[in-house]
Amino acid sequence: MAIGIISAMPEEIEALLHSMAVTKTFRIGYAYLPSGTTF
Amino acid sequence: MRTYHQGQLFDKEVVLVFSRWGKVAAATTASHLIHDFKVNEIIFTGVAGSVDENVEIGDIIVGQNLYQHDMDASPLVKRFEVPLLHRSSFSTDPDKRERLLTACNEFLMHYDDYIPQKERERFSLQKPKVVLGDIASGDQFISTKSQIQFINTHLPSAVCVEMEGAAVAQVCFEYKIPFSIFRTISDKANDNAHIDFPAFAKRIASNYALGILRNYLNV
Repeated sequence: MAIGIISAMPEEIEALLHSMAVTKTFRIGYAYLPSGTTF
Repeated sequence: MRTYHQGQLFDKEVVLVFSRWGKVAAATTASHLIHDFKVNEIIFTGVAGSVDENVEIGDIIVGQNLYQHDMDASPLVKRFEVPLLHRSSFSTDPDKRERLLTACNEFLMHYDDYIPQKERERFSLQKPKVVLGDIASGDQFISTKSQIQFINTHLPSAVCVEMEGAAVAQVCFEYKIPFSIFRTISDKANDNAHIDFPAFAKRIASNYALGILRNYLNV
């Protein structure tokens, strides 16, 4: 079981990812954000 | 589309995701975390605008009760009450909240390690403090005196406003998932609020999230 961490700020996600050992990335959904947006 | 990052953060198994903005978007994100990733707890971070004159930019709000300030199904139910759930607010988990308060206070004790003096001066951060308080969420960007006055009048316990927290709190309530939230105050949510928001998010709020979550997860 994992802890879910939600951030309302993409900048926070980016900072946390620098400290995180990511094992898997999942993309869910079909509606894309405007091009250039990476979150 | 949402991107969920699964892995270890400060030696704890986590799934990290951007909520996107607004109540529906954030509720959808939380639902995915619960259904698809089976998380046993949700922590929510971000920034907020102060609606309390004693809450300053750089302060940290640890949420206690969360309201939807734009919920109004009257006369079917009273204003702010969420239909069918018979309640106007959703509370954070008491144990997680206490742990989060400790993590925030520890962060402030080592503030200089995260926020350089130059940045403190740039954003006029005086003596940041931790405030345990209520949060009002809604699908509106609160920026006028009349909007603040409305919240102060009708939800007097609310110390800050943002656009997602109460929605995630409701989802967690319905699924019995422990929920906690902290928000960094980025502005005073009034007509005079002018800060370099992207810079604040990158240089201040991001370091708050990092420092506080490190303390929280390292327990």
